[in-house]
Amino acid sequence: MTLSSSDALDRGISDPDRWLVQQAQGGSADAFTQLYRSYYGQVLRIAKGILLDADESEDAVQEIFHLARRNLPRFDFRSRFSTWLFRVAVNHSIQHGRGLWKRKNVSLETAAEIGHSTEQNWDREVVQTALAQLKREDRAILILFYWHDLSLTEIGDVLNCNANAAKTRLFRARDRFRKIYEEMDA
Amino acid sequence: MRGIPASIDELMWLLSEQDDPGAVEAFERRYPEYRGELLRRMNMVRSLREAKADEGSAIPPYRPVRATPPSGFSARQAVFGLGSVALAAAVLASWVALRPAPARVETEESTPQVVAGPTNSPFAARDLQPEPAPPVDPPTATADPAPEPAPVPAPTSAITLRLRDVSLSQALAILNRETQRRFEMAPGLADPTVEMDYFDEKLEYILADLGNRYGFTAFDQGDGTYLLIPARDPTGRDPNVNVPLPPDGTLPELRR
Repeated sequence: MTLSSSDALDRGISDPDRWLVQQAQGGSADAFTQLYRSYYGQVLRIAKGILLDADESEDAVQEIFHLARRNLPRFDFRSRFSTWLFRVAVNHSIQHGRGLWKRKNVSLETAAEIGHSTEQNWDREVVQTALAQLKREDRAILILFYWHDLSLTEIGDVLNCNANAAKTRLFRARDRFRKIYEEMDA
Repeated sequence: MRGIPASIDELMWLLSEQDDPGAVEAFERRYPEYRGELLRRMNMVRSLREAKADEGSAIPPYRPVRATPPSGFSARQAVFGLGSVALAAAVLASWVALRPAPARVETEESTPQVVAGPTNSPFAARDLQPEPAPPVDPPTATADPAPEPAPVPAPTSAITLRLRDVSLSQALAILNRETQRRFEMAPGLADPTVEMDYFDEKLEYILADLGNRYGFTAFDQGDGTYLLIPARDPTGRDPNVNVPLPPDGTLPELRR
């Protein structure tokens, strides 16, 4: 889904990062660094949620910000900068994950570790393992909704679909997650 | 969930996602039979939220990097690549089979053509001609122009590629995408599962190494096409290339 400028106005999109983004578009390295520092944590969380690997996620985050900086001149404020950045983060993390064949090994390691975990971490590890068995696209929508608390409209903007489609995808991803989670939790 | 009306199902998800004890209590009063189901969903949503990855305690400095393309690929890409290769091969084969014979220029009287054989006399052929043909301008286009020499493909740059659990044909499709070279598997060549892990290597080295490991030899056809035949050259080299042996006569081992 693409938004025209009038759409953005209609939806009342006011971007708190507009000034910084404009400075960065004008070539200010300081402005981009400030954006980087503001969003590093959230982008890392997206990457971790999709890749489920801390080291790979940190590498991916650097690549995501590199992509963002390179494409920043084309950003035209049709959505918030954060939405646009999250879109870059989701797409690149999914793409980055396709190049990793060790994902299955990571999942198995995680599953094996559950047997030795404390009760306190049990839930967290069951969730991580269940997430690992989902498709990256499913993980992306779940973490955007449950970890980043984005609305369905915002998720639609990130995933390039409308809110209804985002809702349908969320429901399906959640059902798949639930099935795995309950099997493991039983 | 089966057996639960869609409206109640949606309502339970909504309650699971909102922390509103009053609403949960009201739901349980009205639908006591779904109390257990609601509790399970609330627990799952809570666990999912609590498993939120941390944002990292320290923000590393921004270090511009070049985003590397993923070395993996999807099955769709592989199918598309192989399909393209097959289609191109079919088109090429049909063109070769149906290409018309070279047009022959016939004179009006259908006089027999005189072909000068090899002779030392520069007049031997001309003496048989009734009249020397007047000079004419070279035609701008001919019925069967001489084939242009095949363009020499640009040398491939070094390749970094990591693949695992892919078939040889899929690996070749990826190499085709990366190098713009074509690879043709000769009949009888197996399509084993291969593993590739090359960093900054030349295509020739990669083909030689793969051939050594999976039992084929790649022949460079000179037009950007490599023909893979099910035979193994112990040197791992293209036999069309004359590579002198080392002074001691032993064959070098391929790097792994």
